[in-house]
Amino acid sequence: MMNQTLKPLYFAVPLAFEAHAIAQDQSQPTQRSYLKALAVYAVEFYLRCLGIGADFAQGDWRDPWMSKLIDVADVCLPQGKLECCVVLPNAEVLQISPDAWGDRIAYVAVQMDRSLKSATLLGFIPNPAIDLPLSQLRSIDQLPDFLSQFAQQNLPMNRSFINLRNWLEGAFETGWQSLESALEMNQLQAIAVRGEERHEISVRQAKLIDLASIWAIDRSCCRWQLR
Amino acid sequence: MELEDRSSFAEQLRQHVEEARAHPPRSLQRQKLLNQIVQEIFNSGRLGHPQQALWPPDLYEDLYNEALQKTLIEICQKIDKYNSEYPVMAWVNFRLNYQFVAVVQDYQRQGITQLPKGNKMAPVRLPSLENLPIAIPNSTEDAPQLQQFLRQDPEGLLQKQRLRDRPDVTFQMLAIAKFIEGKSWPQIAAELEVSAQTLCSFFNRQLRDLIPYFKKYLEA
Repeated sequence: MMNQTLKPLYFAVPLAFEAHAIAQDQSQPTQRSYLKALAVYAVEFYLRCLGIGADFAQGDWRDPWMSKLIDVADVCLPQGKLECCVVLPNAEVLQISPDAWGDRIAYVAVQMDRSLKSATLLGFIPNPAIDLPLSQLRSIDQLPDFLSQFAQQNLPMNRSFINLRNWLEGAFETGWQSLESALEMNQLQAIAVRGEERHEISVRQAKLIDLASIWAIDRSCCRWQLR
Repeated sequence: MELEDRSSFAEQLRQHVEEARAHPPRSLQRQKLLNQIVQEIFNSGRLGHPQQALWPPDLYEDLYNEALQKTLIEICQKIDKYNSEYPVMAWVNFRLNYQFVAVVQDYQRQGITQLPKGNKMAPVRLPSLENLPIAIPNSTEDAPQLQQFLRQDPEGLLQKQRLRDRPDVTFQMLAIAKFIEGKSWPQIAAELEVSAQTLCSFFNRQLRDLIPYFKKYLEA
């Protein structure tokens, strides 16, 4: 456990024309959607400073339909999504939208200044919690470490990192091959395949992993609706 | 005393910059140092304030923040170009001056292009928390239409999406519980005995793929 210094390490982000222009560039910004856009902007600023690559255009909140139906403020990194959580100036706890409980690697607390001329990254937590006191956040300067550990441990198996659409089109990620080519035909017959529903296409890819001379088969199934 | 503080701060900052440069871009070590460097610069109290007397204070703050933000990103991205003969803050302030002039030029050219068109001559005011333009969330407006769509599911696509380990749980069922009955994920999770995280992640992923379907029937 790191020794906490007396002055907590926050990360301040100045907000001006560009940030507000993005927040205003929504079809009908509500107070909440406006603040969420600023929070995402602040987190993106942090990531850009540190040179952490993110796909800023991919967030669900940027899709007008998604943002109308669910309350999220996500930023996509190669290893998964960060959720940017708005913290109002006088708040004492972190509120996480339940719509963002799934598929997140961390929740970053972004406190807005009353003037909306700056925001402060207060810290983060890896798992969703209800009304977590802000004092219990992990310090923002631990985020790079956290993200890199996450990448090392989970990257190869992380579902969100593997583009399932590519599989449907026959393009496989490195390290994956078709089930048929990974196994001899006689072995293939021995594999139990989960029943498939009529309206769905089942796509399977396989990866052979040599574990002390045991061949383990790692399968990942996805269902896809016919269009 | 003051002078000592000043020189030890400058020396510490210089060391951090030197260290950051010694690690390759995108390496964890460099990221951690950049995190630290940005905070040190921001909190240093040694940032310059170019042209401060020339602008009304409120507008100045916005112009300055825009320039400062661009400067901090530039410093991080071009840390390899730092010339260690000069103090780090001299370099930062030099770039800040340059960025400030660029921001002012943008502002004067078109009142900052990205901002909504209004009276070009009036200074652009950015809202504070108190005077945010508050639109009434429009989800209630098209609620009847949405409800009808979710219930009728004209092409049967909403019923087709099922939770892998609980095929009795369909996307449609969750959408009705959420959008029509107004239930929260914890409530729905308790009723179905499936974790809220599982439901939420299934729902969001499916929703993303179903958006074209929503649009087809709900976009006027």
